[in-house]
Amino acid sequence: MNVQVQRSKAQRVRRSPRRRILAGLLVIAIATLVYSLPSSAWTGAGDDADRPWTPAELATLASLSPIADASPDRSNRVSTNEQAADLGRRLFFDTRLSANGSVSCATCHQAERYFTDGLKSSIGIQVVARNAPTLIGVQNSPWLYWDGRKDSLWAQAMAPFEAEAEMGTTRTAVVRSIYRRYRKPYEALFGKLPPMVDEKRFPPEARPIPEDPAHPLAQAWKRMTSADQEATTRAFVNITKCIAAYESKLLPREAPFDRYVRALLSGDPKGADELSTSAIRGLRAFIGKAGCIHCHNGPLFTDQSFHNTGLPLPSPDARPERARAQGAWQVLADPFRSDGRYGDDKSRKNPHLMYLNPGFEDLLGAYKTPTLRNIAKTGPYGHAGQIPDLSAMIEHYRKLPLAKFLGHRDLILKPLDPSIRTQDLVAFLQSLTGPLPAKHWLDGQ
Amino acid sequence: MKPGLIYPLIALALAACGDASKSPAQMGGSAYQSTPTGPLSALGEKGLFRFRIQTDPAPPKLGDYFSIWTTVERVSDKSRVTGGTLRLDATMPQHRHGMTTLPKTRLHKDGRFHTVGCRFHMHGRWVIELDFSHEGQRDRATIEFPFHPPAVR
Repeated sequence: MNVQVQRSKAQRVRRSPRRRILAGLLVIAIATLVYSLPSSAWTGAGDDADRPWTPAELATLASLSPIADASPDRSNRVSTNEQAADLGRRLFFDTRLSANGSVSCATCHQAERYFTDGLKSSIGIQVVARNAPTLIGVQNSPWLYWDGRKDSLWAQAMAPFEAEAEMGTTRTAVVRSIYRRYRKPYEALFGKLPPMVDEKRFPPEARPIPEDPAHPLAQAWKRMTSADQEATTRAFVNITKCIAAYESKLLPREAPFDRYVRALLSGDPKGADELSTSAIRGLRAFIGKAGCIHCHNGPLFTDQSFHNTGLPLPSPDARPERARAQGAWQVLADPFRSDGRYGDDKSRKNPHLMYLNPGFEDLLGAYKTPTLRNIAKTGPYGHAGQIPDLSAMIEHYRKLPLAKFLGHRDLILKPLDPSIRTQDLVAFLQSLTGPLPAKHWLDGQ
Repeated sequence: MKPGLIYPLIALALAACGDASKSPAQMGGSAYQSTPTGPLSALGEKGLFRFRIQTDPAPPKLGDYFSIWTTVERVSDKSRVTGGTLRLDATMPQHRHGMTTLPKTRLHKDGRFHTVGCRFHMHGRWVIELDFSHEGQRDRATIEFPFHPPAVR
Protein backbone atom coordinates (compact mmCIF):
# COMPACT_ATOMS: atom_id res chain seq x y z
CA MET A 1 0.00 0.00 0.00
CA ASN A 2 2.67 2.47 0.98
CA VAL A 3 4.71 1.56 -2.06
CA GLN A 4 1.77 2.27 -4.30
CA VAL A 5 1.14 5.63 -2.74
CA GLN A 6 4.76 6.66 -3.13
CA ARG A 7 4.84 5.52 -6.71
CA SER A 8 1.65 7.43 -7.42
CA LYS A 9 3.22 10.65 -6.00
CA ALA A 10 6.32 10.13 -8.04
CA GLN A 11 4.25 9.68 -11.16
CA ARG A 12 2.37 12.89 -10.42
CA VAL A 13 5.64 14.80 -10.12
CA ARG A 14 6.95 13.33 -13.32
CA ARG A 15 3.77 14.39 -15.04
CA SER A 16 4.27 18.07 -14.10
CA PRO A 17 7.40 19.75 -15.59
CA ARG A 18 6.30 23.17 -14.30
CA ARG A 19 6.35 21.84 -10.75
CA ARG A 20 9.82 20.51 -11.30
CA ILE A 21 10.96 23.95 -12.42
CA LEU A 22 9.29 25.57 -9.43
CA ALA A 23 10.82 23.08 -7.05
CA GLY A 24 14.22 23.65 -8.59
CA LEU A 25 13.87 27.42 -8.26
CA LEU A 26 12.78 27.05 -4.68
CA VAL A 27 15.85 24.98 -3.89
CA ILE A 28 18.11 27.51 -5.61
CA ALA A 29 16.46 30.40 -3.80
CA ILE A 30 16.71 28.78 -0.39
CA ALA A 31 20.29 27.63 -0.96
CA THR A 32 21.36 31.04 -2.19
CA LEU A 33 19.65 32.76 0.69
CA VAL A 34 21.27 30.47 3.21
CA TYR A 35 24.64 31.14 1.64
CA SER A 36 24.12 34.86 1.43
CA LEU A 37 22.75 35.36 4.92
CA PRO A 38 25.67 36.21 7.12
CA SER A 39 26.34 33.57 9.72
CA SER A 40 26.01 34.69 13.29
CA ALA A 41 29.75 34.53 13.75
CA TRP A 42 30.51 36.52 10.67
CA THR A 43 28.21 39.33 11.62
CA GLY A 44 29.22 39.49 15.24
CA ALA A 45 27.38 37.02 17.37
CA GLY A 46 25.84 37.72 20.69
CA ASP A 47 23.34 40.10 22.06
CA ASP A 48 23.37 42.12 18.88
CA ALA A 49 24.03 39.08 16.74
CA ASP A 50 21.79 39.92 13.88
CA ARG A 51 23.49 43.02 12.73
CA PRO A 52 26.53 42.93 10.48
CA TRP A 53 29.67 44.93 11.16
CA THR A 54 29.01 48.56 10.35
CA PRO A 55 31.33 50.48 8.00
CA ALA A 56 32.71 52.36 11.01
CA GLU A 57 33.45 49.09 12.81
CA LEU A 58 35.06 47.64 9.71
CA ALA A 59 37.29 50.69 9.49
CA THR A 60 38.28 50.17 13.11
CA LEU A 61 39.01 46.50 12.51
CA ALA A 62 41.14 47.40 9.50
CA SER A 63 43.13 49.77 11.70
CA LEU A 64 44.06 46.87 13.98
CA SER A 65 45.31 44.42 11.38
CA PRO A 66 47.51 43.40 9.63
CA ILE A 67 50.52 43.76 11.88
CA ALA A 68 52.65 46.70 10.79
CA ASP A 69 56.20 46.22 9.59
CA ALA A 70 58.97 47.28 11.89
CA SER A 71 60.32 50.71 11.11
CA PRO A 72 64.09 51.00 11.40
CA ASP A 73 65.47 52.93 14.34
CA ARG A 74 67.32 55.85 12.81
CA SER A 75 69.28 56.35 16.00
CA ASN A 76 70.80 52.89 15.56
CA ARG A 77 72.80 52.48 12.36
CA VAL A 78 72.86 48.69 12.74
CA SER A 79 69.18 48.31 13.56
CA THR A 80 68.53 46.41 10.31
CA ASN A 81 71.96 44.78 9.99
CA GLU A 82 71.70 40.99 9.99
CA GLN A 83 75.18 40.44 11.43
CA ALA A 84 74.42 42.86 14.23
CA ALA A 85 71.12 41.10 14.95
CA ASP A 86 72.87 37.77 15.06
CA LEU A 87 75.56 39.04 17.41
CA GLY A 88 72.84 40.66 19.49
CA ARG A 89 71.01 37.34 19.66
CA ARG A 90 74.08 35.62 21.08
CA LEU A 91 74.64 38.40 23.61
CA PHE A 92 70.99 38.39 24.63
CA PHE A 93 71.23 34.80 25.83
CA ASP A 94 74.79 34.96 27.25
CA THR A 95 74.79 34.72 31.05
CA ARG A 96 78.55 35.30 31.16
CA LEU A 97 77.90 39.00 30.72
CA SER A 98 76.39 39.29 34.21
CA ALA A 99 78.21 39.79 37.50
CA ASN A 100 77.52 36.28 38.78
CA GLY A 101 77.50 34.52 35.42
CA SER A 102 73.94 33.33 35.78
CA VAL A 103 71.76 36.13 34.43
CA SER A 104 71.18 37.22 30.86
CA CYS A 105 68.55 39.33 29.13
CA ALA A 106 66.76 36.03 28.50
CA THR A 107 66.44 35.37 32.23
CA CYS A 108 63.57 37.84 32.44
CA HIS A 109 62.64 37.75 28.75
CA GLN A 110 62.32 34.02 28.12
CA ALA A 111 61.67 33.13 24.52
CA GLU A 112 59.27 30.28 25.23
CA ARG A 113 57.21 32.60 27.43
CA TYR A 114 56.86 35.12 24.65
CA PHE A 115 59.86 36.96 26.07
CA THR A 116 58.45 37.40 29.54
CA ASP A 117 59.18 35.39 32.69
CA GLY A 118 55.76 34.56 34.09
CA LEU A 119 56.63 36.24 37.39
CA LYS A 120 54.94 39.14 39.13
CA SER A 121 58.20 40.98 39.28
CA SER A 122 61.35 39.72 37.66
CA ILE A 123 64.34 38.17 39.37
CA GLY A 124 67.79 39.01 38.11
CA ILE A 125 70.61 38.94 40.60
CA GLN A 126 68.01 40.27 43.02
CA VAL A 127 64.26 40.83 42.84
CA VAL A 128 63.36 43.66 40.47
CA ALA A 129 60.45 45.99 41.18
CA ARG A 130 58.87 45.59 37.76
CA ASN A 131 57.04 43.00 35.73
CA ALA A 132 59.00 42.05 32.59
CA PRO A 133 57.02 43.14 29.52
CA THR A 134 57.11 41.10 26.34
CA LEU A 135 59.70 42.07 23.76
CA ILE A 136 57.62 40.85 20.86
CA GLY A 137 56.59 43.95 18.98
CA VAL A 138 58.80 46.22 21.06
CA GLN A 139 60.67 47.47 17.99
CA ASN A 140 58.11 50.18 17.32
CA SER A 141 57.88 51.50 20.86
CA PRO A 142 58.92 55.12 21.17
CA TRP A 143 59.28 54.65 24.92
CA LEU A 144 60.84 51.83 26.90
CA TYR A 145 60.18 50.79 30.48
CA TRP A 146 56.79 51.09 32.12
CA ASP A 147 57.50 54.76 32.82
CA GLY A 148 59.13 55.42 29.43
CA ARG A 149 62.41 56.65 30.87
CA LYS A 150 64.31 55.45 27.80
CA ASP A 151 63.50 56.25 24.20
CA SER A 152 65.40 53.64 22.23
CA LEU A 153 65.92 49.92 22.48
CA TRP A 154 69.68 50.32 22.65
CA ALA A 155 69.57 52.89 25.43
CA GLN A 156 67.22 50.64 27.36
CA ALA A 157 69.46 47.60 26.87
CA MET A 158 72.38 49.40 28.56
CA ALA A 159 70.61 49.83 31.87
CA PRO A 160 70.08 46.20 33.03
CA PHE A 161 73.77 45.43 32.64
CA GLU A 162 74.67 48.03 35.24
CA ALA A 163 71.60 47.70 37.45
CA GLU A 164 72.60 45.93 40.66
CA ALA A 165 69.35 43.98 40.91
CA GLU A 166 69.47 42.82 37.30
CA MET A 167 72.84 41.85 35.82
CA GLY A 168 74.93 43.82 38.31
CA THR A 169 77.98 44.29 36.12
CA THR A 170 79.93 47.25 34.78
CA ARG A 171 80.56 48.61 31.34
CA THR A 172 84.29 47.85 31.43
CA ALA A 173 83.49 44.24 32.40
CA VAL A 174 81.00 43.93 29.54
CA VAL A 175 83.37 45.39 26.96
CA ARG A 176 86.20 43.18 28.29
CA SER A 177 83.94 40.16 27.88
CA ILE A 178 83.15 41.15 24.31
CA TYR A 179 86.86 41.64 23.69
CA ARG A 180 87.56 38.09 24.84
CA ARG A 181 84.58 36.29 23.33
CA TYR A 182 83.06 38.29 20.49
CA ARG A 183 85.92 40.45 19.24
CA LYS A 184 85.78 39.28 15.64
CA PRO A 185 82.06 39.85 14.93
CA TYR A 186 82.14 43.09 16.90
CA GLU A 187 85.12 44.51 15.00
CA ALA A 188 83.60 43.44 11.68
CA LEU A 189 80.72 45.76 12.46
CA PHE A 190 82.29 48.64 14.35
CA GLY A 191 86.06 48.55 13.95
CA LYS A 192 88.65 48.02 16.63
CA LEU A 193 87.69 47.58 20.24
CA PRO A 194 89.63 49.48 22.89
CA PRO A 195 92.58 47.43 24.23
CA MET A 196 90.61 46.04 27.16
CA VAL A 197 93.45 43.71 28.17
CA ASP A 198 95.33 46.74 29.44
CA GLU A 199 94.02 46.66 33.00
CA LYS A 200 95.82 49.83 33.99
CA ARG A 201 93.87 51.80 31.44
CA PHE A 202 90.70 49.70 31.59
CA PRO A 203 89.96 48.37 35.08
CA PRO A 204 88.11 45.03 35.03
CA GLU A 205 85.23 46.60 36.92
CA ALA A 206 84.42 50.27 36.50
CA ARG A 207 81.37 52.33 35.72
CA PRO A 208 80.04 55.82 36.36
CA ILE A 209 77.69 56.11 39.33
CA PRO A 210 76.60 59.76 39.42
CA GLU A 211 74.42 59.22 42.48
CA ASP A 212 77.30 57.65 44.46
CA PRO A 213 80.62 59.04 43.22
CA ALA A 214 82.46 57.60 46.23
CA HIS A 215 81.55 54.05 45.26
CA PRO A 216 84.68 51.96 44.45
CA LEU A 217 83.41 51.22 40.94
CA ALA A 218 82.82 54.92 40.37
CA GLN A 219 86.26 55.70 41.70
CA ALA A 220 87.78 53.15 39.32
CA TRP A 221 85.88 54.80 36.50
CA LYS A 222 87.07 58.22 37.57
CA ARG A 223 90.70 57.09 37.37
CA MET A 224 90.34 56.27 33.68
CA THR A 225 91.20 58.95 31.15
CA SER A 226 88.22 60.66 29.58
CA ALA A 227 89.28 59.23 26.20
CA ASP A 228 89.27 55.69 27.59
CA GLN A 229 85.97 56.32 29.33
CA GLU A 230 84.53 57.50 26.05
CA ALA A 231 85.97 54.55 24.09
CA THR A 232 84.51 52.13 26.62
CA THR A 233 81.12 53.79 26.60
CA ARG A 234 81.06 53.88 22.78
CA ALA A 235 81.82 50.16 22.65
CA PHE A 236 79.17 49.50 25.30
CA VAL A 237 76.63 51.45 23.25
CA ASN A 238 77.58 49.51 20.11
CA ILE A 239 77.05 46.25 21.97
CA THR A 240 73.56 47.27 23.05
CA LYS A 241 72.79 48.46 19.52
CA CYS A 242 73.39 44.86 18.44
CA ILE A 243 71.00 43.65 21.13
CA ALA A 244 68.48 46.21 19.88
CA ALA A 245 68.94 44.90 16.32
CA TYR A 246 68.18 41.43 17.63
CA GLU A 247 65.09 42.63 19.52
CA SER A 248 63.87 44.26 16.31
CA LYS A 249 63.58 40.76 14.87
CA LEU A 250 61.03 39.74 17.48
CA LEU A 251 57.97 40.58 15.49
CA PRO A 252 54.43 39.54 16.31
CA ARG A 253 53.11 36.95 13.90
CA GLU A 254 49.69 36.46 12.44
CA ALA A 255 47.05 35.51 14.99
CA PRO A 256 43.51 34.16 14.46
CA PHE A 257 42.23 37.72 14.82
CA ASP A 258 44.33 38.82 11.82
CA ARG A 259 43.03 35.98 9.70
CA TYR A 260 39.49 36.85 10.71
CA VAL A 261 39.89 40.51 9.73
CA ARG A 262 41.64 39.69 6.47
CA ALA A 263 38.89 37.28 5.48
CA LEU A 264 36.20 39.69 6.62
CA LEU A 265 37.54 42.53 4.52
CA SER A 266 38.08 40.37 1.47
CA GLY A 267 34.66 38.74 1.66
CA ASP A 268 35.95 35.25 2.33
CA PRO A 269 33.22 33.48 4.35
CA LYS A 270 35.69 30.93 5.70
CA GLY A 271 37.16 33.63 7.92
CA ALA A 272 34.18 33.44 10.26
CA ASP A 273 35.61 30.23 11.69
CA GLU A 274 38.75 31.95 12.92
CA LEU A 275 37.04 33.42 15.96
CA SER A 276 34.58 31.77 18.31
CA THR A 277 31.17 33.28 18.88
CA SER A 278 32.33 34.41 22.29
CA ALA A 279 35.50 36.00 20.85
CA ILE A 280 33.48 37.94 18.31
CA ARG A 281 31.20 39.18 21.06
CA GLY A 282 34.31 40.22 22.94
CA LEU A 283 35.74 41.93 19.88
CA ARG A 284 32.55 43.87 19.40
CA ALA A 285 32.70 45.03 23.01
CA PHE A 286 36.41 45.77 22.75
CA ILE A 287 35.94 48.21 19.87
CA GLY A 288 32.56 49.35 21.12
CA LYS A 289 31.03 49.94 24.48
CA ALA A 290 33.91 48.58 26.56
CA GLY A 291 36.09 51.31 25.03
CA CYS A 292 39.32 49.30 25.23
CA ILE A 293 40.12 50.49 21.72
CA HIS A 294 40.72 54.03 22.93
CA CYS A 295 44.08 53.12 24.43
CA HIS A 296 44.73 49.71 22.88
CA ASN A 297 44.65 50.89 19.29
CA GLY A 298 46.65 50.30 16.12
CA PRO A 299 48.10 46.96 14.97
CA LEU A 300 50.05 46.55 18.21
CA PHE A 301 47.01 47.38 20.32
CA THR A 302 48.75 50.21 22.12
CA ASP A 303 48.56 53.96 21.74
CA GLN A 304 52.23 54.07 22.80
CA SER A 305 51.16 56.42 25.51
CA PHE A 306 50.75 56.41 29.29
CA HIS A 307 47.64 56.10 31.41
CA ASN A 308 46.79 55.99 35.07
CA THR A 309 44.40 53.06 35.29
CA GLY A 310 44.42 52.98 39.08
CA LEU A 311 45.89 49.53 39.47
CA PRO A 312 46.30 48.41 43.08
CA LEU A 313 49.68 48.64 44.73
CA PRO A 314 51.68 45.39 44.45
CA SER A 315 51.89 45.08 48.24
CA PRO A 316 50.46 46.90 51.27
CA ASP A 317 53.79 48.50 52.08
CA ALA A 318 54.52 49.62 48.53
CA ARG A 319 54.53 53.33 47.85
CA PRO A 320 52.61 54.90 44.97
CA GLU A 321 54.90 56.06 42.21
CA ARG A 322 55.04 59.14 40.04
CA ALA A 323 55.60 56.74 37.13
CA ARG A 324 55.51 58.59 33.79
CA ALA A 325 55.59 61.97 35.51
CA GLN A 326 59.10 61.00 36.57
CA GLY A 327 60.07 58.96 33.51
CA ALA A 328 59.32 61.85 31.17
CA TRP A 329 61.84 64.06 32.97
CA GLN A 330 64.34 61.23 33.18
CA VAL A 331 64.32 60.58 29.45
CA LEU A 332 64.89 64.26 28.75
CA ALA A 333 67.92 64.23 31.05
CA ASP A 334 69.25 60.91 29.77
CA PRO A 335 72.76 61.18 28.27
CA PHE A 336 71.83 58.27 26.02
CA ARG A 337 68.63 59.76 24.62
CA SER A 338 68.26 58.86 20.98
CA ASP A 339 68.87 62.38 19.69
CA GLY A 340 72.05 62.74 21.72
CA ARG A 341 75.65 62.16 20.75
CA TYR A 342 75.44 58.38 21.06
CA GLY A 343 72.54 58.21 18.63
CA ASP A 344 73.21 57.80 14.91
CA ASP A 345 70.44 60.02 13.56
CA LYS A 346 72.40 63.02 12.36
CA SER A 347 69.29 65.17 12.16
CA ARG A 348 69.17 64.98 15.96
CA LYS A 349 65.43 65.32 15.70
CA ASN A 350 63.20 62.90 17.49
CA PRO A 351 59.66 64.28 17.54
CA HIS A 352 58.80 62.22 20.59
CA LEU A 353 61.43 64.15 22.54
CA MET A 354 60.97 67.47 20.77
CA TYR A 355 57.29 67.69 21.62
CA LEU A 356 57.25 65.73 24.86
CA ASN A 357 55.17 67.43 27.49
CA PRO A 358 56.70 66.24 30.78
CA GLY A 359 54.41 68.44 32.81
CA PHE A 360 51.21 66.95 31.39
CA GLU A 361 49.18 66.40 34.54
CA ASP A 362 47.68 63.11 33.40
CA LEU A 363 51.14 61.54 33.47
CA LEU A 364 51.19 61.36 37.26
CA GLY A 365 50.89 57.72 38.24
CA ALA A 366 50.56 56.72 34.58
CA TYR A 367 52.21 53.66 33.05
CA LYS A 368 52.78 52.63 29.46
CA THR A 369 49.91 51.04 27.58
CA PRO A 370 51.14 47.49 26.93
CA THR A 371 50.66 45.75 23.62
CA LEU A 372 47.87 43.20 23.63
CA ARG A 373 49.53 41.05 21.00
CA ASN A 374 50.07 37.61 22.60
CA ILE A 375 48.63 38.98 25.82
CA ALA A 376 47.22 35.60 26.87
CA LYS A 377 50.80 34.32 27.05
CA THR A 378 52.41 37.19 28.92
CA GLY A 379 50.78 37.30 32.34
CA PRO A 380 50.76 38.29 35.10
CA TYR A 381 49.77 41.81 34.20
CA GLY A 382 50.38 45.38 35.28
CA HIS A 383 53.65 47.20 35.83
CA ALA A 384 54.29 45.16 38.98
CA GLY A 385 52.50 42.01 37.89
CA GLN A 386 49.81 42.72 40.45
CA ILE A 387 47.00 41.33 38.25
CA PRO A 388 47.25 37.54 37.98
CA ASP A 389 45.26 36.85 34.83
CA LEU A 390 43.13 38.36 32.10
CA SER A 391 39.85 37.76 33.89
CA ALA A 392 41.15 39.63 36.92
CA MET A 393 42.27 42.52 34.71
CA ILE A 394 38.84 42.76 33.12
CA GLU A 395 37.27 42.63 36.57
CA HIS A 396 39.48 45.57 37.52
CA TYR A 397 38.01 47.55 34.63
CA ARG A 398 34.54 46.32 35.51
CA LYS A 399 34.71 47.66 39.05
CA LEU A 400 37.50 50.26 38.99
CA PRO A 401 37.98 49.76 42.72
CA LEU A 402 39.39 52.47 44.89
CA ALA A 403 43.13 52.14 45.27
CA LYS A 404 46.02 54.17 46.53
CA PHE A 405 47.83 55.88 43.71
CA LEU A 406 49.17 59.28 42.80
CA GLY A 407 47.33 61.60 40.48
CA HIS A 408 43.93 60.65 39.20
CA ARG A 409 42.67 57.67 37.32
CA ASP A 410 42.37 58.37 33.60
CA LEU A 411 39.10 60.25 33.16
CA ILE A 412 38.22 58.18 30.13
CA LEU A 413 37.69 55.14 32.34
CA LYS A 414 34.19 54.14 33.32
CA PRO A 415 33.20 50.83 34.95
CA LEU A 416 32.47 48.23 32.28
CA ASP A 417 28.87 47.89 31.20
CA PRO A 418 27.33 44.90 33.05
CA SER A 419 26.18 43.42 29.74
CA ILE A 420 29.80 42.87 28.72
CA ARG A 421 30.90 39.39 29.66
CA THR A 422 34.39 38.82 31.00
CA GLN A 423 34.73 35.50 29.20
CA ASP A 424 33.94 37.15 25.87
CA LEU A 425 36.67 39.75 26.25
CA VAL A 426 39.08 37.03 27.37
CA ALA A 427 38.15 34.91 24.35
CA PHE A 428 38.87 37.84 22.07
CA LEU A 429 42.19 38.61 23.77
CA GLN A 430 43.18 34.96 23.35
CA SER A 431 42.63 35.35 19.62
CA LEU A 432 45.56 37.78 19.55
CA THR A 433 48.04 35.00 20.18
CA GLY A 434 50.27 34.20 17.23
CA PRO A 435 53.20 31.82 16.95
CA LEU A 436 56.54 32.70 18.51
CA PRO A 437 59.09 34.45 16.27
CA ALA A 438 61.11 32.28 13.90
CA LYS A 439 63.06 29.51 15.67
CA HIS A 440 66.43 31.02 14.81
CA TRP A 441 65.74 33.92 17.14
CA LEU A 442 64.69 31.86 20.12
CA ASP A 443 68.04 30.86 21.53
CA GLY A 444 71.67 31.92 21.61
CA GLN A 445 73.16 28.93 19.82
CA MET B 1 2.05 25.25 -6.34
CA LYS B 2 0.36 28.01 -8.28
CA PRO B 3 1.94 29.14 -11.55
CA GLY B 4 1.92 32.71 -10.30
CA LEU B 5 4.55 31.83 -7.73
CA ILE B 6 7.22 31.34 -10.35
CA TYR B 7 7.96 35.06 -10.74
CA PRO B 8 8.33 35.86 -7.01
CA LEU B 9 10.58 32.83 -6.68
CA ILE B 10 12.77 33.96 -9.55
CA ALA B 11 12.93 37.43 -8.00
CA LEU B 12 13.77 35.92 -4.63
CA ALA B 13 16.56 33.84 -6.10
CA LEU B 14 17.97 36.81 -7.99
CA ALA B 15 17.77 39.01 -4.94
CA ALA B 16 19.54 36.39 -2.88
CA CYS B 17 22.22 36.05 -5.54
CA GLY B 18 22.69 39.79 -5.44
CA ASP B 19 23.24 39.79 -1.70
CA ALA B 20 25.68 36.94 -1.90
CA SER B 21 27.86 38.91 -4.24
CA LYS B 22 28.38 41.53 -1.53
CA SER B 23 31.44 41.16 0.61
CA PRO B 24 30.89 41.44 4.34
CA ALA B 25 32.81 44.67 4.18
CA GLN B 26 30.09 46.13 2.03
CA MET B 27 27.35 45.20 4.41
CA GLY B 28 26.38 47.18 7.39
CA GLY B 29 24.11 49.83 8.60
CA SER B 30 25.42 52.99 10.16
CA ALA B 31 27.05 55.59 7.99
CA TYR B 32 30.79 55.93 8.15
CA GLN B 33 32.05 59.31 9.24
CA SER B 34 35.35 60.19 7.65
CA THR B 35 38.11 62.36 9.01
CA PRO B 36 38.11 65.76 7.30
CA THR B 37 40.86 66.27 4.78
CA GLY B 38 40.01 69.73 3.52
CA PRO B 39 40.22 73.01 5.42
CA LEU B 40 37.89 73.65 8.34
CA SER B 41 36.91 77.08 9.52
CA ALA B 42 35.27 78.77 12.45
CA LEU B 43 34.34 82.26 13.53
CA GLY B 44 35.89 83.55 16.74
CA GLU B 45 33.68 83.83 19.81
CA LYS B 46 33.82 87.63 19.64
CA GLY B 47 33.30 87.67 15.90
CA LEU B 48 36.56 89.53 15.32
CA PHE B 49 38.45 86.92 13.35
CA ARG B 50 37.72 83.90 11.21
CA PHE B 51 40.10 80.96 11.43
CA ARG B 52 40.77 78.34 8.82
CA ILE B 53 42.85 75.28 9.64
CA GLN B 54 44.37 72.59 7.48
CA THR B 55 46.21 69.52 8.77
CA ASP B 56 49.36 68.24 7.15
CA PRO B 57 49.14 65.43 6.25
CA ALA B 58 45.41 65.33 5.66
CA PRO B 59 44.03 63.32 7.26
CA PRO B 60 46.46 62.73 10.14
CA LYS B 61 47.41 59.18 10.96
CA LEU B 62 46.80 57.63 14.35
CA GLY B 63 49.89 57.97 16.55
CA ASP B 64 51.89 59.92 13.96
CA TYR B 65 52.98 63.52 14.25
CA PHE B 66 51.26 66.09 12.08
CA SER B 67 51.12 69.83 11.75
CA ILE B 68 48.32 72.35 11.37
CA TRP B 69 48.38 75.44 9.18
CA THR B 70 46.12 78.23 10.37
CA THR B 71 44.98 81.18 8.34
CA VAL B 72 43.44 84.14 10.19
CA GLU B 73 41.09 86.61 8.54
CA ARG B 74 39.70 89.82 9.99
CA VAL B 75 35.92 89.65 9.84
CA SER B 76 35.35 93.39 9.40
CA ASP B 77 37.08 93.71 6.04
CA LYS B 78 37.91 90.08 5.23
CA SER B 79 41.58 90.95 5.11
CA ARG B 80 44.18 88.33 5.93
CA VAL B 81 45.98 88.86 9.24
CA THR B 82 49.66 88.06 8.96
CA GLY B 83 50.86 88.78 12.47
CA GLY B 84 49.91 88.31 16.07
CA THR B 85 50.16 85.37 18.42
CA LEU B 86 48.32 82.09 18.06
CA ARG B 87 48.02 79.36 20.62
CA LEU B 88 46.67 76.09 19.31
CA ASP B 89 45.78 73.00 21.27
CA ALA B 90 43.55 69.97 20.77
CA THR B 91 41.39 68.18 23.31
CA MET B 92 38.96 65.28 23.53
CA PRO B 93 36.13 66.78 25.62
CA GLN B 94 34.36 63.46 26.11
CA HIS B 95 37.56 61.91 27.46
CA ARG B 96 38.54 65.05 29.34
CA HIS B 97 42.10 65.01 28.11
CA GLY B 98 44.14 66.58 25.37
CA MET B 99 47.16 65.67 23.34
CA THR B 100 50.11 64.16 25.15
CA THR B 101 52.46 66.43 23.24
CA LEU B 102 53.40 70.06 23.55
CA PRO B 103 52.88 71.52 20.06
CA LYS B 104 54.79 74.60 18.98
CA THR B 105 53.28 77.37 16.86
CA ARG B 106 55.19 79.95 14.85
CA LEU B 107 54.32 82.51 12.23
CA HIS B 108 55.36 81.33 8.79
CA LYS B 109 56.83 83.76 6.29
CA ASP B 110 53.68 83.53 4.13
CA GLY B 111 51.61 84.89 7.00
CA ARG B 112 50.05 81.62 8.08
CA PHE B 113 50.63 80.04 11.46
CA HIS B 114 52.26 76.66 11.52
CA THR B 115 51.76 74.39 14.52
CA VAL B 116 54.07 71.39 14.70
CA GLY B 117 54.17 68.47 17.12
CA CYS B 118 50.50 67.52 17.10
CA ARG B 119 49.70 63.88 17.66
CA PHE B 120 46.36 62.14 18.10
CA HIS B 121 46.88 59.00 20.12
CA MET B 122 43.22 57.99 19.95
CA HIS B 123 40.45 58.00 17.43
CA GLY B 124 37.32 59.89 18.37
CA ARG B 125 36.00 63.42 18.63
CA TRP B 126 38.79 65.95 18.90
CA VAL B 127 38.34 69.69 19.21
CA ILE B 128 40.95 72.13 17.96
CA GLU B 129 41.19 75.16 20.25
CA LEU B 130 42.54 78.44 18.92
CA ASP B 131 43.45 81.44 21.00
CA PHE B 132 44.56 84.43 18.91
CA SER B 133 45.83 87.86 19.89
CA HIS B 134 46.64 90.71 17.52
CA GLU B 135 47.13 94.43 18.16
CA GLY B 136 45.26 94.37 21.45
CA GLN B 137 42.41 92.23 20.18
CA ARG B 138 41.87 88.69 21.33
CA ASP B 139 39.51 86.08 20.01
CA ARG B 140 39.08 82.36 20.54
CA ALA B 141 37.51 79.61 18.52
CA THR B 142 36.98 75.88 18.63
CA ILE B 143 36.76 73.62 15.61
CA GLU B 144 35.33 70.13 15.71
CA PHE B 145 37.66 67.53 14.28
CA PRO B 146 36.20 64.04 14.04
CA PHE B 147 39.11 61.64 13.81
CA HIS B 148 38.31 58.16 12.58
CA PRO B 149 40.13 55.22 11.02
CA PRO B 150 40.31 55.32 7.21
CA ALA B 151 37.27 53.80 5.54
CA VAL B 152 37.48 50.28 4.17
CA ARG B 153 37.32 50.39 0.37
